[in-house]
Amino acid sequence: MGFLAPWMLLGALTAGVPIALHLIRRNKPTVVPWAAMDFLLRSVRETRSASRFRDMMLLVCRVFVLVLATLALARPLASWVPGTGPVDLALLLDVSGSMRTEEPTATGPRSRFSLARDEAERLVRALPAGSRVRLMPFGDRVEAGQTPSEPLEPALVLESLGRLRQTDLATRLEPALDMAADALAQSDMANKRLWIISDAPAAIWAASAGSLRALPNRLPGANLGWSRVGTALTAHVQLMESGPEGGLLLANTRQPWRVRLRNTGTGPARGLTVRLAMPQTGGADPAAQPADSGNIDEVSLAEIGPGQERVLHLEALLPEGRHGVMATVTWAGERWPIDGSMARVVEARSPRRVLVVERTSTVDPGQASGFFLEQALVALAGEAAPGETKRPLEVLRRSPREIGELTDIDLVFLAGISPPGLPDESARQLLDWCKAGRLLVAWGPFTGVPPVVDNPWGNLFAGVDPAQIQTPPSLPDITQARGILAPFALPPLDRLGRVILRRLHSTGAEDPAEEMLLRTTAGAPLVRRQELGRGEVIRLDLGVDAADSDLVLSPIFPPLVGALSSRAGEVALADHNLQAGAPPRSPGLELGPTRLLRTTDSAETSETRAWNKAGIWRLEENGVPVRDAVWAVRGGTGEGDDLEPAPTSVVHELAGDSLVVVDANSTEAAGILTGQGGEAAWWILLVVLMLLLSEGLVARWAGGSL
Amino acid sequence: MSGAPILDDSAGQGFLAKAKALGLRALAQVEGGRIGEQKSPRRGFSVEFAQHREYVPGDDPRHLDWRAYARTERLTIKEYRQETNYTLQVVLDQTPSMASPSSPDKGLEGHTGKGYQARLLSLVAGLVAQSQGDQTSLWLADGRNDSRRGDACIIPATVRAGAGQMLANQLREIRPQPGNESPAQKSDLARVLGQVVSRPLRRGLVLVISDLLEEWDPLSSLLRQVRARGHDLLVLQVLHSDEIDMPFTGDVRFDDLESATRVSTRPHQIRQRYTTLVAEWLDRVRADLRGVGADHALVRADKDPHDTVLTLLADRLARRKASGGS
Repeated sequence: MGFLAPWMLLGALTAGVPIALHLIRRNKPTVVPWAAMDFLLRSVRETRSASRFRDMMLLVCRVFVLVLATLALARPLASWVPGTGPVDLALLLDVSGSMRTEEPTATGPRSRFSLARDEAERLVRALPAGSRVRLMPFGDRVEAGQTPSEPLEPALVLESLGRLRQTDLATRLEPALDMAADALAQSDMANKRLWIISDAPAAIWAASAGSLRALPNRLPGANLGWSRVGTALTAHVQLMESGPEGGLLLANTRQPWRVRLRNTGTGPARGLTVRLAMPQTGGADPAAQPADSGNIDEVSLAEIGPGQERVLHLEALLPEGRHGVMATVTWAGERWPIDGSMARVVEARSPRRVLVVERTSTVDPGQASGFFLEQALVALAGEAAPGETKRPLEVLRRSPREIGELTDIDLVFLAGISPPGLPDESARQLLDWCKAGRLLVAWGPFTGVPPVVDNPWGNLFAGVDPAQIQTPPSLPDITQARGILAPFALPPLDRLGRVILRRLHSTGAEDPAEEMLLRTTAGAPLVRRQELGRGEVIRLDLGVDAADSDLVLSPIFPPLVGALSSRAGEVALADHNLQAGAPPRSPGLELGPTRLLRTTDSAETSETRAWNKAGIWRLEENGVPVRDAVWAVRGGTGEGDDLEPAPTSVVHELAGDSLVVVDANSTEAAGILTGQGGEAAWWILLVVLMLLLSEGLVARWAGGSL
Repeated sequence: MSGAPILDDSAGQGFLAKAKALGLRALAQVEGGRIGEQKSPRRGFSVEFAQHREYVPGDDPRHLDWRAYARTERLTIKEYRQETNYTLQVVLDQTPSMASPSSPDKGLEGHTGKGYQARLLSLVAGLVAQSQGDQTSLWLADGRNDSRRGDACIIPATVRAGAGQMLANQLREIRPQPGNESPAQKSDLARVLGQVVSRPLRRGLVLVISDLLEEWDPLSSLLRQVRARGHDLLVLQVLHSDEIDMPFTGDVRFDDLESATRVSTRPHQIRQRYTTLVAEWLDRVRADLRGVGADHALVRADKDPHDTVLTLLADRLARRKASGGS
C-alpha cells in the first residue's frame, strides 16, 4: 500500500490522545449523598462487566476513528479499491526551450530538463507491475519522432528517457493534453493516469484551462498529475509585442514601431537595451547576429520593476517589400534570453488602401456611419512631420450597393452593415476578396440576428441569442479576443465592456448589472474571429455609430481601430509569422516531416537547420534565396512567462479537483487532490463515518464520555 | 435552614384544614380511655346500634327494647357499639438515611428532604388526631441507640391542651444526621418497632413514617406483630424520586449517608438494573403490608405530599363508612 500524502501519517500520533485522556484526565465526579446504597451496590456489582466492555468499546472506537481519519488523509492507494493495479500512464515530459534553464541543486546546477527526466524515472519506477507507459515529450506539440508512439514497458521507457532531446519549442499544453487523452481513451486498461512534468507557468495552465476541464469527461476515473520543475526568476524580461504602431506599415516612411516589455520576475531588471533589426541569417540567438546586422533602431531603458510593463516606441524605415524584423531586449543578468526576442515578418507597402462600406447614420441622415471609422483611421495615419511626405493611407468610403474594385484594397470595414444583407454582387465580391487572404472587419450590433442557412456567409454573422446570455466568464475566457486585440486584452477591453458595451445591446432590463452581462456571453466573446478561405473575418458586436454607443467618441476607439488594422497585416502574412509547429497555410509550402522547410514545386532546400528554431529564416534553394521566402518563427514566445509556479489552488481550479501536484525539485508533493483510481481514502472515510456513528451509539450506551 | 415543619403558610394551612376535615380514622377496632369517634371492641350504650340480646337480671331496665317486647312478649336488651378515642402511635424514622437528599458539604436538608417531609407528615397526623380528640404518642428512630435514648417514645400519649404545640416543638429539635453507623444503628427503626410491639399498649393506630431502607425481612416481621397486637397500621414510605428513578448523568460518586462507603459509577450504565431492583422492592413492601391488612402509601419527598396524604385519608374515611362507621 502506497500513500499519496505519507507525511499525514504523523497524524496517527493523535490516536494516543483518547488513551492519554483515559489514563490522565479523570472527570471530577458529582458527589451525591445516598441512602439506598444496598440497591446501588447490587446494581454496580451486576453491571460491572458490561460497563467495562462498553468503556473499552468506546475507547477502541475513538482510537480507530483517529487512526483511520489519519490514514484517509494520507490517501492510501490500496489494491482492493477499484482502479488499482497496472496503470496505463501517459507521461507528458516538457522538452521546450525553457527546460534548458539551470536550477541550483544540492549536486550543483542542473537543467530543468535533467530534473524532469529524473522525476519521470521516479514515476515510472513507482508503477505497479504490468503497467505501460506512453512517453510523450512535448513543446508546443508532441515531439512524436523522439519516442515510439506505442505504449512501452516501464523498463523500455527508462531507456527512452535517456535518449530524449531538448528542443527550442515553446510550451503549449493543449495539443499534448489532447493527444494524450485520445491515446488513453483508446486504452483497454482500467487504470489510467496522465502525468505532466513541466515548468509550465500559470499563464500556460490558464491557456489550457479548456482542455484540462474537459479531461474528467474524456477520461472518467483517470488520475491527472503534475510534477512541476523550475523556480521563479528574480528578474525576467519578456518581450510581449513587436510591430508597427497603428498596424499598417507604410513603405519608405519613418513609422513608429511599438515594442512592449514586461518584467515577470520578482526583482527589477536594469540596463536594458531594445534593438530592432533585420537579421540576414536564421537563428534565435541575437548574440549570434552581427552587432550592426541590419540594425534599424535601438533604445535603452534604465530599469523595469517587478511586474511592470513598458511600451517603447522605436522608429522603422523600411523599403517596400516583405522583411523579417527581429526585436530583442538584452540586459545584464538574464537567464532566459529567448524570451527577450521576437521575430516578425512585415510587409511595407505604399499606398495602403482601406475601404469603409457604410450605411447612413441613424443619428444624422446626412452623415454616414463610417464617418467615425474614417476619422479614426486618419488619426492613425497622423499628420506628416515637417520635411516628410504625408503618409499615403487612403481611406475609401463606399455604399453597400457599389463596392467597386477590391483588387488594391488592403482592408475592408463594414460599418454597421450585416453582411448577409449585402446585395448578392457585393457579397460575392467581398467573399472572393477575403478568401484570397484578406481581412474583413464587420462592426455592428449583431445581437439577436437569427442564424441563416442559404447565405454565402453561412452563420458567420449569426447574433448571440439574448436568451443565452449568462454571467460573464472571467477575462481569461475571452482568449479569442486576446489574440486579436493584444493591447486590449485586459484593462482596456474590460473597460470597454463595462463602460461602453452595456449601452450597446440593452435587453431593456432595468438592472444595469444585467445589461453589463452582455459584455461576453457563454462562449460568445466580444470579438469573434473566423477563417474564411485564406482570409479572415473579424466580427465585433459593437456599434460604430454614435446612435449605438459612445464607443466611437471614446479615446480608445482609434487604438481599437489600429489594432484591427494591424491584424490586416497579420492575416496577409500569416504563413510568414509562424508559431513553431503551426503549419503554414500557403498552398506552395509545407512543413517537412521533422525539421526541414521546403518547397513542393522545386528541389529540396539545402537548409538543414531546424526550421522550428526561433528567429528569422530565409529559404534558399541551392544557395539562392527564394523570392519572398522570409519566415519568422516564434519559438520562444511565451517561454518564461510568469515563471512563478502556479499556485496549487489555481491549478486545482483549472483542472477541477483531480490533480496531483508534485514539486520535482523538492520531491515533495504540494497538493493532495486526485482522482479515484486506487485511492482508498473515500472508503476509509466511509468507515470513519460508520465508526463515528457507532461511537455515538456506544457513548450513549456507555453513558457519557470517558 | 430550620428543620421545623412549616404549616403556617397558606398552602400548609389549607392542607391541614382538609386533613382535619377528613380525619385520620382507625379502620380497626381501637381501645381508648374516653368516648370518642372510633370504633371500640366493647359493647356499650352509645349511638351506634350493635345488637339485641336477652334480658338477664341486673341489666339496666332503661335499655329494654319495649317495642320488641310488644311484638315478641320477650324482654330484650338493646346494645350499642361503644365509640372511643384512640392513641395514635407515630413511629418517625429520622435515621441518617432520611437525610437524603442533602448537600454533601454542609449536611443541610431542604424542604424536599425525606426527613423534613417525614416530620411534616408526623405533625399533620398529630394535629389531625388531636382535632379528633385522640391522643398522640411519638416514637423516634434516629440511629442514636445509646442508653440515654433507650426509650424511643419521646412523647407519651396525652390529650391535654397544647399537645400539638408540644409535638411541633419536639419535631423542631429533630433532624437526621449523616454519619457512620453500626449495623445495629442502621436497624434503628426495627428497634423502635420492637419497643412498640413489646409495650402493653391499648389497641390504636400505628403510623410508621419511614423510607424503610433497612433490611426488610425483620421490619416486615415487626410490622406483622404490630398488626397482631390489634393495632391499625398505616405506613407512609417517604422516598426521593432520585432514589427511585436514578436520573443522574455523567460521573457520579455516591456517598453512603450511613457509612463511609463510596461508590463511583456512571448512573447511566446502572440505571436500568437499579430501577428494576427498587421497583421489585417496592412491590414486595406493598404486597407484604397488604397481606397483613396494613395501609401503605408512597410519598415522594420532592413532590407535594398533599394530594397523596389527602387521598389516603379520604380513602380511609370511605372505607370506614363502608364498614358502618361514622
